[in-house]
Amino acid sequence: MTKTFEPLKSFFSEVGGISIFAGRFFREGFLPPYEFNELLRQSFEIGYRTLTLVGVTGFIMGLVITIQSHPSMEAFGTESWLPSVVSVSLVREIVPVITALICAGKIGSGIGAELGSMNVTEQIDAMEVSGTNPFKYLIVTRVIATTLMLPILVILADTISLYGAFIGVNMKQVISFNLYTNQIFEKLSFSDVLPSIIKSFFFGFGIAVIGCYKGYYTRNGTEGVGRAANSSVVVSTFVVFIIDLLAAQIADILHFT
Amino acid sequence: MSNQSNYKLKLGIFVTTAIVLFILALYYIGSKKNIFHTTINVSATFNNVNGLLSGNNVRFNGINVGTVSEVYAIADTIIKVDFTIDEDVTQYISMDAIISIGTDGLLGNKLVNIEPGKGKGGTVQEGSVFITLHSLQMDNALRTLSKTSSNLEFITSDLKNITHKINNSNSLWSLFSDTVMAENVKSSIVNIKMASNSSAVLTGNLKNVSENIMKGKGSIGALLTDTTLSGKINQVIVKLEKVSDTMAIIFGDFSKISGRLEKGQGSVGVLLKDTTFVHNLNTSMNNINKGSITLNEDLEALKHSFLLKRYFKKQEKRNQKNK
Repeated sequence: MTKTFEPLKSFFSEVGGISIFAGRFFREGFLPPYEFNELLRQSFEIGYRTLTLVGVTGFIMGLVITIQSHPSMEAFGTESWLPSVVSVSLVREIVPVITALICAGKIGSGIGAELGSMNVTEQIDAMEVSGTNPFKYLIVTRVIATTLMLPILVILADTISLYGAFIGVNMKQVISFNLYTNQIFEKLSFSDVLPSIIKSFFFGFGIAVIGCYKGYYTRNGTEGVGRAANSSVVVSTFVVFIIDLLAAQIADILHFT
Repeated sequence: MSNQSNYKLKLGIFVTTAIVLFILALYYIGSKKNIFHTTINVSATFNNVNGLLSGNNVRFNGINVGTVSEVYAIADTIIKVDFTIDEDVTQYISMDAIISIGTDGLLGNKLVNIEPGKGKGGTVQEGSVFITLHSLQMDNALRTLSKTSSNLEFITSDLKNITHKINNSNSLWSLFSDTVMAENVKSSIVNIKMASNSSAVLTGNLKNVSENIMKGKGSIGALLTDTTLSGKINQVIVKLEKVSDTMAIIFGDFSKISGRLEKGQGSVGVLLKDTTFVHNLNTSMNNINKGSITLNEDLEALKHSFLLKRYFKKQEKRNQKNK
């Protein structure tokens, strides 16, 4: 009987642990001292170093979505709507989610593995002994950096993916860049852009909190580091979809659709 | 230190680029929705807005000039639509402009269409309320389309039968391939052409004749156009009417007289009807005839008597002198 509820108990323990961890972030994150240099360094590592991966993925997504949508649009005789339709789907859903998933893979696993290895090698304990608050230095900076950098990555990925979509549209028909931009901005509205940017803050926060939690509480040596990296990717990917679902529901309730 | 400032620079460029792109995107979206233009608020009332929502576009002659700000009911059959119009175009929109609810494309978003009026009523101002048109309802349009397509089906079916009959008609095709017939048709057309030329000349002549008549030339013209003649004719007709009335009275009298004669009334009637009198008169006439013959003989005898012989000789001589 106890074994039957073991996974459920483990799940709720995990949720509770993450919630407490997030609460500790809010408790300690806004109190001085602030680790600005570490925040900038983490922002650089998380944001700038992920740009290439996110940019290439965004470009490919824009191109592929356009090429895949073209036959259906052509069948309905609505080829001219291709830029509008593709831009709305890219900006509203595809780019934020794909960027978040890439970040969950790259940043989440990176944070989990880095903090896990620091934990198993007792570097975190050493920091505590030396008088540095490891939570502030390691966790708060990473969570804030990821939360701030993900929307910026989404904005850049949006731009690159729309350029990819422009090339995709021009592979099937001829359209000037001016007309293309006019068409996409004609159909895009604040209710498309703002919810996608706002939810990407939550994506970043979720990825970072889970990555940090998994890494911070790594046990069982190097084996635990690998498990922490792996589970941080799995859980943060799942959390991205949960946040996306909630964001869609909230946007619908607030008439941002 | 140099390495640290290098990553800060890269991070700064990275963040700034993203923020600039975000602001540009917001600006472009805002400009498309006329958010950064000076606008005025106007409204229009409709019976049915067909799903128009706040945020839908307002178009003037096909140009986006504003957005719908609010849609709400003010009575059981009246829906009020508040919308903004870019101030730059207000000078071209008069108060008699016609407002209707349309669709962007066949199945696109609803929008408010502004069509220019005749320029009466002054230009639009803050708080103006427009006259509206009933919007095109899709179900009505589809119903009409269904009826049209049904009619079209019948027409095409009939057309199919006609073409089938034409294709199966040997006489028609032989008619088309008959060269003699073609020649005949050609000559007929030439004849028709000549006839039409002649008729053109004839109509020209008729035109001249009618013009002459209208101008009062010739007897008919004079008859038709001379007003004094018509006056005289009128007088003649009046006199004729009087004469005919008199004649009618006379004939009435004659009829009465003949009736009385027939009935044997009056002296003449008695004379005509009394057969004995007629017989006596006949006998008397015979006797007079016989008496006159005898008298002639007696007078001839007197001419030769010695008493009157001298007188007749003198008379004969006088007659000869006169000749």
